[in-house]
Amino acid sequence: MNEGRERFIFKVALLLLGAYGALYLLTVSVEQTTTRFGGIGWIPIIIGVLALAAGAIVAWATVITWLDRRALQRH
Amino acid sequence: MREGQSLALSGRIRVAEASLTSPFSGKACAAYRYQVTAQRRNVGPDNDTRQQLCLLGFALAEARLDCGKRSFPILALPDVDTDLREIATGGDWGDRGLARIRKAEEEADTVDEPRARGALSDAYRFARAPRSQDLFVASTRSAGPEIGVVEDAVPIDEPVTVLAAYNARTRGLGARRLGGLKVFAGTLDERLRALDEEWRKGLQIASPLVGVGLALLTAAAWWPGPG
Repeated sequence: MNEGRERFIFKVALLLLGAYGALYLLTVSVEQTTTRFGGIGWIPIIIGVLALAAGAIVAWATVITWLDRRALQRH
Repeated sequence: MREGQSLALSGRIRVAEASLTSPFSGKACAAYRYQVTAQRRNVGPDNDTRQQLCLLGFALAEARLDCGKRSFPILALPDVDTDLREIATGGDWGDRGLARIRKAEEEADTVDEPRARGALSDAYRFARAPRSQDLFVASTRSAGPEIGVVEDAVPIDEPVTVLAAYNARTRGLGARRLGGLKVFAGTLDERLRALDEEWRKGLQIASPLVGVGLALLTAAAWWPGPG
């Protein structure tokens, strides 16, 4: 049971690291955009975040589908 | 066939003796996995209402993949494609999920989430059938309509395609190093056609969304200046 538990903790740590990186990049983007365009800069940021989040979810599912397809095709 | 060789085989899964019954859909199956999530019971001063895993369970019957000329014992809890997965929030499944949480609250010991997920992850790598485990992680203050349930069920006597690694010692199907043992509904050709269509459609949707998202979030860098 311990091996699986360690694997789970490792995955969560990776996920948190990824979330930290994404938040850092978002902070940089917000700072640059609002400095350049002022308050109106929030409009592209909000739309951009929603589009990117939706795109990332679909892309993740697509990668899994592609990997399954490749594995089935190979064997 | 050699040890560890990845295989994609089409056939029907047969169980040795009694089949299992999946806890939510009530289907006869060779293996199932479920998880019940709900709002956690202890909310902090910030009135946090985070969803949390409350129950997780899985079971594997003594089963073989019957390919016609040959059959292979199943040596790990199968992961399933989305066609064999059902997801529900509230309704009948929510009520049943809540009843299971309440029952486990009284009868079962609590395990932490990493341990519960770890047990599942281990079963995806190897499971000696028959095996069944129900793990109680946390209680909830939610009502039935707020309970989320996910259930995977591996059908018996129906055409399926199995992606697995060959185990030479037992002449059975085990988990691949990456991706485990996965079961898809339908024959290999049907599945390949469906997956081909799915990934192309996914690419068509994901590409513009990611492109637009990145363009808008980097607007400050490429938007032309006043001069």
